[in-house]
Amino acid sequence: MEEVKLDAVTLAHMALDAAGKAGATQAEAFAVRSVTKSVYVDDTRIKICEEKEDQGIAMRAMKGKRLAQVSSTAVFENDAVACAKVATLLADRSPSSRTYDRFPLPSQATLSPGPWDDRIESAEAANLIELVKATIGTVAERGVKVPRGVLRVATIESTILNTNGVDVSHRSTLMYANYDSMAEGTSPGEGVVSFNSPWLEDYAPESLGERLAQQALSARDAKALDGPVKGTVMIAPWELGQMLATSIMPAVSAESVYKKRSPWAGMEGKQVASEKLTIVDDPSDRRGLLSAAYDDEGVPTSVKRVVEKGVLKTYLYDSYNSSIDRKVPSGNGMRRRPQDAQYLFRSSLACAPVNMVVSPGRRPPEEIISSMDEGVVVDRFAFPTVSPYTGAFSLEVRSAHIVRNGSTAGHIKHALVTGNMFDGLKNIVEVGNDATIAGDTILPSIAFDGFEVVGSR
Amino acid sequence: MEDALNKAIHTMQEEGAEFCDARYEDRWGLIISVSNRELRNLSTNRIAGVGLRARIGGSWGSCSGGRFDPESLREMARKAVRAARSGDCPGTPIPEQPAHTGKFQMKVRVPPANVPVEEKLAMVKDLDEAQHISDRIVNTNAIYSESKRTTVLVNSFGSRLRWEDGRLRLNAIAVARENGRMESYREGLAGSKGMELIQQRDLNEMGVSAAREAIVQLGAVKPPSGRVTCITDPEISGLLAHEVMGHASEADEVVKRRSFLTDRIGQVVADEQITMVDDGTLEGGYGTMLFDDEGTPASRTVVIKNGVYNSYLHDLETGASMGVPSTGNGRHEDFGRRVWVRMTNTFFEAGDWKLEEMLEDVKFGVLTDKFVNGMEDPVGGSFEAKAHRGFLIENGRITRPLRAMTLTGKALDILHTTDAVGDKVSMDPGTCGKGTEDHVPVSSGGPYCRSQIIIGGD
Repeated sequence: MEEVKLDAVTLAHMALDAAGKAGATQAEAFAVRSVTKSVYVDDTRIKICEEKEDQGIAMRAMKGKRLAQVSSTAVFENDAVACAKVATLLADRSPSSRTYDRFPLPSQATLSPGPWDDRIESAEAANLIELVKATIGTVAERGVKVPRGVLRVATIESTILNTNGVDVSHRSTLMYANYDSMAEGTSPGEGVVSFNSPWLEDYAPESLGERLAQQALSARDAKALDGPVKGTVMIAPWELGQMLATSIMPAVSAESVYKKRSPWAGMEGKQVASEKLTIVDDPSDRRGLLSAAYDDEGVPTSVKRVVEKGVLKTYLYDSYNSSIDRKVPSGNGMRRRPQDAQYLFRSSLACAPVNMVVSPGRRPPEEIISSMDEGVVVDRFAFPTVSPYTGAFSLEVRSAHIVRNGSTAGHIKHALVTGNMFDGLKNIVEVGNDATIAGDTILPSIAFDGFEVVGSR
Repeated sequence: MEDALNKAIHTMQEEGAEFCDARYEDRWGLIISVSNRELRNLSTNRIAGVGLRARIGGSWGSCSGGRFDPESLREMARKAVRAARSGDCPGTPIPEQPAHTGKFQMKVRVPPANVPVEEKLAMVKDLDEAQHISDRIVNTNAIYSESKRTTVLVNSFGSRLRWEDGRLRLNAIAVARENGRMESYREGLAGSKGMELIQQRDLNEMGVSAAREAIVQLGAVKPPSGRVTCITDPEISGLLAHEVMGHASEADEVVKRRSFLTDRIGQVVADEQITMVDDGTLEGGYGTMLFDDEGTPASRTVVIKNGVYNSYLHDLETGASMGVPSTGNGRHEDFGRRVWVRMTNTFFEAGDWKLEEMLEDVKFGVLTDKFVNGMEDPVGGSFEAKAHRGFLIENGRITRPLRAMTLTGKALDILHTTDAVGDKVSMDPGTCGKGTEDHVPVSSGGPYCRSQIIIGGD
C-alpha cells in the first residue's frame, strides 16, 4: 500500500502520540514546513533559479529528568513515529539534568502574530528575476559588475505541541539578498550589500544597486592606509550587527551567564554601556524577521528592555536556563534563523534574542560625520566578529573613508580597526537614526571613541 | 532509488535539459555535548531528499524536496527545466564525461555505528571532566559529533553512483577567568575516519591541555602591531592557503575574472619553497571525499609548484569553460543547495626547516597559535586571519604569550617574503562558506612558515 504524504501538523500530533506510547514521560514536537525560492546571479546574469521545499520534525522526549532530541525530514507517518521512538530510546541513555524537569506549560500570548507577507508567498521566479534584474541593471549602468548575488524569499509554517498542552502555530515570511559588486581597474574595488526583511515591499532595487555600485567605485579609488588615524570610528549597521551578534547577544543569554562565560554575568542592574545605548528584544516589531507571539518552545514572547540607557536590565531565558535559577522563561528559546528557512527542525534550541532592536538616535549618519573632527567611517569589514569572552576584536577594513573636519578626506582599505566592544559600548559618541534590519538585529550606525585604526602597509 | 532518479533524468531531458543530474541524499548526525559537568545536547538529526539540476545554455534550474515518489519527482523535474529556461547566462556546453557507476564506501577501521552511544557519552563526559584542573577554569565544554551520508547520483552522461562517507569531530573548549579577565583555549581532532581517530588520542591529556592553555592565556599581553617577522603555525599557514590562494583558485572566480589569480598560470607567485595542493583524496582528511557532488572522482591538484602557479580548481562547468577536465571540486552543502567550485583539503607542502631553526634567526617577531577564522578576498588578494593567540619571539626565544591578533596583508607579498618553510605538515578541520553561506567540510594546513606579515590586536 502506498504511504500517504502528510502535513506537518498531522505529523506533529502523530509523533507526540507515539512518544507517549514509547514511554516518554513528556514530549515536545516542533514541526516545520518551508518553501524557498531563490535566484542566483553570476557575472551580472541570472545563473540559477531554484525552488525547494522541506518538512520535518524535531522531537524532544523526556524520561524523568533525562532528555534527548531527534530530528528528521518527515513526510510520512513512519518518519514521525520513528523520530518519537528514537528520541525516547535516546532519553533512556541520557544522564539526568540537575534542574530541567518540565517542558513549558501552555500560556496565552500577549503579542500579535509575526509578519506574514502574502506577496512573498505568491512570488514566482519571474517576480524575483524582475527585482534582481532591476538591481543589477542599476549597478551595470554605473559601469560596475555584479560577480555574484542571491535573492531569496521563503515561507515558514511551524507548529509546537507538547504533552503539557502547548499547541501553537506560527507562520512567517522572509526575504534575503546578498550581492557582490566589482569595479574593474588595475586595483579592482569590491562592494557587498545585504538585505533582509519579512516584507517584499521593503526591497528597493534601484537604491540597493546604487549602494552596490558606489561601494565598488569607492573601494577601487581607495588607498591603503599608511599610518594610524585617531578619533571617532563610526560603523555601518550590517557590520555592527555582526559584531553585536558575537558580543552582546551571547552576553545577555542566560546560557552564557550560567556557564560563567558572559562578561556581563552578575551585572544585572549595573551600568554596562553608555547612556546613549538602549536595546530592546522586541518580538512585536513588524520589521523583525523572527518576530512572533511565541518562541520555538511555545512560550509567549514579550517585549523586554535588555539594556536601558546603558543599564543591563535583564538576561534572556529559554525553558532550560530558566529552570536553573527558577526563573520564568522569557520566550527566548529559538530554532528559527533570519536568513535561511531550510531544515529549521534540525537546529538545536538556542537561548537567544527574538528580535534585538537598538533604539535609534536623532541624527542621520551624514550629520554625525559633519560633527567629527577626525575619524573613520567603516562601510565594510572582512569578517566582523568579536570575541564573546573578552570583547576584543581586530578587523580588516575592506571599505571605509577618513573624515577630517566634518568632511570625507578619502577612501581607504586594508587598514585594521582594533578595540574591545564591551569597552566601546561605554564610549559611544552618538547613535544614528538609520535603523536597518540586519538579520535578527535592527540597528543604526553607531560612532565610538577608543578604537584604534592602524595602517596595514 | 537509482531507477526513480533515472526517470527524473529522462523527464528533464525530454523537457529540454542539455545536461542534468539527480541526487538523493540521506544525511544523519549524532551530537553529544557536555558543559560544566551537565549534558547539554544528546541528539540525532537527519535530512533526506532529492535535488535535481537542469542546465540550458549557461543557466541552471534546480528543484529539491523531501518527497520522492514518482509523481513528485516528475513535477520537480519539470520545474527544474522551467527554472533553467528563466536564466540568461551564456555558457559552454559540458562535454561528454565518462560515466561512473558502482557502489563505494569510505573505509574506516572502527565504524562509529559499532560503538554504543553510552560509550560515546562517557567519553564526552570524561573530556569535560578532564578540564576541571583549577578554580580559574569557569567553563568547560566537550563536544562530539559524527555524521554519515549516503548519496545516490545519476546524470545525463550515464553515471549511476551510490557512495557512503562520514566524519567525526571531538572538541574541548575551556574558559578561564581571573580578576574579571576571561580567556579560552580549544583542543580538537576531526577527520573522515572512524572511532580509531579518537582512540589514538589521550582524552585526559586533551582536556587538561585545553584548560592549562586557557589559564596560560590569562597572562597574555597585547600583541605588537605593524609589519613583523611572523612564524605562522600550521593552522594559520593553512588559512593563508585556503582563504586567499585557495578561494582565488576556484575557477568560477577566474572565469568571470574576479580572481587576482586570473591569467597567472605559469607565473611565479611565491618563493620557490612554496608548493600548495588541494587534495580531496587525502587519507582521513576532514575535506576528503570519494566523489564530488557531481560524481567526479576526488583528486589531488597541485595549485602552486615551487612558487609557480600551476592550476585552478574546477567543477564540470568551469572545466568546460576553460577546456580542461573537472578536478573533482564541484561540491554542495546538501542536496538542496547549489553545487559550485569548492576546496577539499588545502595545504602548503613541507619544506626542510625545523621550528627551532626558524626561531633562532628572529630578533623580534611573533609565533601564532591556532586560528579563529579568516575571510577570503579573491578580488583584492588580501589576507585576513584571526589567530587565537601567539607568542612573542625575542632574540631567538619565545618569551611570553600574546592575546588574539589579526594577520593581514597582500597574500602574494607575504608569500614572496616567506624565507623558511617547516618540515612537518599538519591539517586542521573547518567548515568553509563561499560568500556568506554554502558551508562544506574542509581541512587546511601546512608547516610552520616564516614571513613578513602585518599584525594587530587588542
